[in-house]
Amino acid sequence: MTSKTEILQDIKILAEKKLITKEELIIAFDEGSNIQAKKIPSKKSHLAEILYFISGGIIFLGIAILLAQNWPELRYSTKVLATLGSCIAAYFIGLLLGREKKNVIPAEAGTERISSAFFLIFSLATPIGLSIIFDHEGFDTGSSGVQTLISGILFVTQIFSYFVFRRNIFMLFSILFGTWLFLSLTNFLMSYNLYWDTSKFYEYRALMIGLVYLLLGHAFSNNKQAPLTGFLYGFGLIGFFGAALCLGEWKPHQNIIWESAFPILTFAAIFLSVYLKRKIFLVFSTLFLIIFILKITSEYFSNSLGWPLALVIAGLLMIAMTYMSLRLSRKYLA
Amino acid sequence: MDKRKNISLILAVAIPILMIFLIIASIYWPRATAHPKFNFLYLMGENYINNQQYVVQNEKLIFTQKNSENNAKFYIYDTTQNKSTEISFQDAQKLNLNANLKSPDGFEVVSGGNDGGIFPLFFGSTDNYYSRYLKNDHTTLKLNIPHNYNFRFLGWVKS
Repeated sequence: MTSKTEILQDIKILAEKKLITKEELIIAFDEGSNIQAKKIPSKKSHLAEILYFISGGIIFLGIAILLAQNWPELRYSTKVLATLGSCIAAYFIGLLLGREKKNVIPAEAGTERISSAFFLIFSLATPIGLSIIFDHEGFDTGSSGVQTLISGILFVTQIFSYFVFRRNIFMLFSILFGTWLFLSLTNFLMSYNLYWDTSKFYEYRALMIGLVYLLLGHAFSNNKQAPLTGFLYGFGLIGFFGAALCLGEWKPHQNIIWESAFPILTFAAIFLSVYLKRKIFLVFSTLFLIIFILKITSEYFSNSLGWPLALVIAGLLMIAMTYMSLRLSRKYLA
Repeated sequence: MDKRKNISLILAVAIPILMIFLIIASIYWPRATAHPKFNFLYLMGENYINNQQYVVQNEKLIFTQKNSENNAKFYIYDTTQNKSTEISFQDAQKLNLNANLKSPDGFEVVSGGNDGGIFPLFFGSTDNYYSRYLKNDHTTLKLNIPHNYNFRFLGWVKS
């Protein structure tokens, strides 16, 4: 048997000739030491995953269109079978395909990825199936109370599946159904509470959801749920800054606190982009700051300075913002 | 997962739960302390032809269309006991009424808000629009009145 020094020497030679990569070495080492190799997703495997998800979505669309086209003719049992039946079938197919992951080379874990497509069908079709049952039993499925119940069942199913199978698709739908549950429940509470300003309440909820998404994004970064981070940061920033902008309102009903807080919040997000090394914070906060500059200019300066001059000032500020953003991106995030 | 990420996760879970509890507290706390003092008169099943058949003038209820059919039912709503009692038109005419929409203690009778969920699953909900509530600047109290689009508030009963 060759000695360790000889093996290492061979590796050096192979690396010099570019016949072996660092990733291949790590996989070989992990396999030898019984550690499951860390998956290095290639562009091809990403594309395959996206295609599997699109296929799952198309299957769901097929079920939905079939139901919609034949709704009056279909019997209750057929409707339940077509929706909840396919959900259960998709869930078990997903489980069976997902089970094979230990017997295949991680980089080629095709069946595991296919299982995600079936879990997607399950997650998309379950709300329809449950709504059919509730509707048939005489519940008003349009009401916030019943939607709280449906979204609650969906949330529990997804979070339970996540804790058992540790698949990101379940975490994604847990977050989506959790958001639906939060919105339905607060809508339900609000319908018996008529003295609040409804639009303000909607804005504060969007602000809170945005903040929660950002916190989840941060909690999930650099671990198994890391693929969800982009989605969470993106929608979190849109929800948070969109709501904060709306809370500032428009002259003469403007809210000075929110209008003053908005630029501070955007600059804080720009600082965070450098601290967390996340370009998405920089992009969205710059975009929202540009929208804010336009809003403030038209709100306060269009009458005093005149609209054309106000536009020139807004344009100059936007150029300054974009320049600053690009400089920061090149210096700290490249 | 490091400590800071754990805190992020805890906060992400705690914020919506805390918000729900705050909403519940802000609804039920003022409700528990609100005590409307004035009863009101309302009618149901008015035969509405061009104009209202019944109006309050000089604190008294009057019937304006003498030749038309008189099918309306009159009720006094007891706000302390939260229940309605049917009375005859003659008894209703004996009451002194304040026709202002707002009672002297700041309450008014309003229809329910939007009870719809987030997604329009099958049908939108309009159920709560036909529920009636007593509302002031701090709270809303649900009234025990059967759902009826033909409900009409007539006035606050002067003691």
